[in-house]
Amino acid sequence: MPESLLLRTARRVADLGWEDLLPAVRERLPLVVLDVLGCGWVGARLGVHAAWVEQIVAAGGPADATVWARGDRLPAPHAALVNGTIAHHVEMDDGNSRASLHGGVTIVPAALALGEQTGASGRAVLAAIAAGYEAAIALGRPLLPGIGAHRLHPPVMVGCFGATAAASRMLGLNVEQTAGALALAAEVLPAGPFEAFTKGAPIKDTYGGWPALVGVQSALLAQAGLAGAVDLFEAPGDGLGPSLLHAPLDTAGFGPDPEEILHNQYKAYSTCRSVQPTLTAVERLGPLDPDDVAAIQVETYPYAVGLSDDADPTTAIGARTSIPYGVASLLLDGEVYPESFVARALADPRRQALAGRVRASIASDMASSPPVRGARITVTLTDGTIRRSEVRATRWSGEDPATPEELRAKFRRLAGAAAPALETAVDALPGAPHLDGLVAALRVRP
Amino acid sequence: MTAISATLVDNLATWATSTGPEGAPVSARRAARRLVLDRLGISLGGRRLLGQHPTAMLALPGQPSASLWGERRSVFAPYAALANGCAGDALELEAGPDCVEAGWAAAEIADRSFGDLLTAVIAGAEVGGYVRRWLAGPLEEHGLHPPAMLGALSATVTAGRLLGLSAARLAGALAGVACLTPRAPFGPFTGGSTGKTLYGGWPHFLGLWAGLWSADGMVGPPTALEGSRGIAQSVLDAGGAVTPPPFGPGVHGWDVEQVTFKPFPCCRASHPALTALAGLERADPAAIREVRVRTYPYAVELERRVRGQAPIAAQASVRWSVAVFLAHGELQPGRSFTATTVSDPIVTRLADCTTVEVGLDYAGEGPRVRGAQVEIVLNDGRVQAARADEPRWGPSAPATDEELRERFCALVGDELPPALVDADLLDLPESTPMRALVAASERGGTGPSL
Repeated sequence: MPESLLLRTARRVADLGWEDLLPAVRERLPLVVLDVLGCGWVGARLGVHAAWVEQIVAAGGPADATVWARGDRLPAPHAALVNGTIAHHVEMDDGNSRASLHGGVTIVPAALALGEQTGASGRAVLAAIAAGYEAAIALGRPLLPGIGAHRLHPPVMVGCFGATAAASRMLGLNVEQTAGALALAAEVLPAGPFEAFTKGAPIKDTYGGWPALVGVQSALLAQAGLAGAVDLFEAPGDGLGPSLLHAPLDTAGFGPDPEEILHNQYKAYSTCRSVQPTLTAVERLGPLDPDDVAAIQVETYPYAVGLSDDADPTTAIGARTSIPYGVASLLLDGEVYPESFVARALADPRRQALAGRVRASIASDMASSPPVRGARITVTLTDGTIRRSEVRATRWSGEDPATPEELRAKFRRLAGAAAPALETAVDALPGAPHLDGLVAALRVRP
Repeated sequence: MTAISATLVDNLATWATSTGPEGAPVSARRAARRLVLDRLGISLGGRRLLGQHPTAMLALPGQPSASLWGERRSVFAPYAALANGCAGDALELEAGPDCVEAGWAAAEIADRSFGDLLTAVIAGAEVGGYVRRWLAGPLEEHGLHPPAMLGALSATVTAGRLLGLSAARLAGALAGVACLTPRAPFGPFTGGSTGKTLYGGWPHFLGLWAGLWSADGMVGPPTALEGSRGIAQSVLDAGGAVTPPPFGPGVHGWDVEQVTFKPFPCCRASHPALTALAGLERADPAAIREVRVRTYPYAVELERRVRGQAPIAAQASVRWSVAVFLAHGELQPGRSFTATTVSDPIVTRLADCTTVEVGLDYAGEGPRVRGAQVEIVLNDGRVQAARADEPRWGPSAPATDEELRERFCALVGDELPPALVDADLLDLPESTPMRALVAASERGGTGPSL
């Protein structure tokens, strides 16, 4: 019988060191960390979930890991929970469409929290993050069709695997323990209904942080001797296959890929990925006076239209799945950054009126499986002029990836005054014997 | 003005925080006591017989705190609920909705009385029973473990009521927990993983977190259960919003009164067969040539899924449970399913010669009949046969108070602190503050305290 997918993945994770990483991966890792730290700092600056954070901080416990942009130190699972949650709120964290992973908010907080607790070197932490991405995507890919079919939120599930792999690496678990930890995470993968996102419920932001907590805890429990079912992907009657796909899972074609992190996509807009092809197409139109717009017809892929139709654009979270709200914000603000979703913006009558003139429908030529994640825009101006734009991919994806300079510019914009200290500390990680320098920077308030 | 329809979590929370649960009859309050006694005993028994569960290692100091049963220390409350729930799970004795561990921790936090705990347990059981009747069948069809997924809702209601949440806040907590509760595949149980024991505590962990978080606005969407992208559609494969069945508390009798306790330390699927066996004169294991079990379809389906013969997998298996019972003449919590017992050649031979098939009497449409017919074919050709159309301690002959007391004492052991013996949860005054009960249990005795 072939080795199970969990064991195959664990074998890669448990053995992965800095020296095993491809040069391009080593080069990319600091940018991955910076990208999520920027999200964390802007979330903190906006005061996201302040009362909830205070509650977790007040719970106390061993001071093992730092809460970003605050400096409080908490037990590692709680620091990972808070950091991942706050960073996820603004919806600008990275993605990986091969497994619908938000690795930045799930993997990085887990790795940094345990790295700080264990006194790990910068290289060890970065290697653990790479291991997290490889594991998450190896384990998430076979499940993705089933997660999507059930209208669940893939990243909250897939992220648990990545965080667990990174945490296992940080704790130095062996192959069997790592596989067991991944299996424990598989037991408690949050169901993660998409309803939380479209309806704008605060709990949706924990879809970033909860997997980080699950990952740290699963690794700690495996270290303490709790054993997971390492054949849980392949178990024919009641494994993950039947639970999500109604059929046993054939995992033969899946496994870790050392280039996985290079496939990451970064967000140029503070919205769900489903809205981003539309925003890219609108940007391509060039300057447009919102007052001149009579109507905008958006044609895009079915999943994006479905989410948008279900969205509650009166909430900061739900509005991020709304195509009309995103388009209106882009036209009014000239960009779609977190400030487009603050209370004043959500209540802005001009924005609401403009969003009311935007209609989204399915583009039949983008409804293939897998879909073409593109968008076609037809703008009718008040003078009757028609302007059109079409894209077949989102900005900063596919053939048009974000450059390192663009990612650093985004980070600096989001991190504000904390950016220089963070950037210096993160760039020093490959040579850092421990995380002290980074931890000092993590305490810088926004 | 158009009225806004209340969502399902609104309805559940409004009832659970109202005087509705207080209106439950005396018999329901009695049933709640029985449930509290049994869950406490199983957790303490698990701690005593199996040792500290790994989740206790996660249980660190923090506020608000609650007692870690059997360890004479208080820890951050969600972790107390987690570890207390996990501690006894490997005994495979726990029954009923997941109310007690989260509720107990919440009662300590909020300085509630034992009577408050009972009322909250009644509320949690009622909501849990409603959701179970709606979704447990489809969850089983997906190969999922219904209590591990749905238990968090019971735990949230129980904890939320004790924490004094308003209806709106409890609705938000229920919606939040619906987003984070796991789909929970059954595979860890049938695969024999010790990680399966997480299912015993995770609902309580989530329920307590959700209750605490809702006070600070970390809540789920109002349509988390029935919405077009909510939990129910994902379980029912509906592909869109679903209409929940009416919630009618007490209509089917009070759910807490319908809890059936588990006499045998293994999956319920084996209980009918074991009940039948218990009615037979004990045969010499060496004289047994063949054992034929005919039982209800779900039990057979579970049997088909069992992988390997680890102790926990054996507890999920009719075949292995029958084999251990025949070899030992009984099943003892924490003793009958160990690596040693399941590798005993006598047991493995008996498991090998046991077949499990669907019994025609149990395969019909309509409500599930948890019955079994067992035939033991001896080497000399004689056949012993028995049937049980309901497991022991089933609805028509539930465990008596005395049986539950005896079981509690047996699980906890003879080093029980005097205060806990004196308390006797089946007769404890409802006005007793939970913190006082815990404090009293920590005085005297060398064995488990609260």
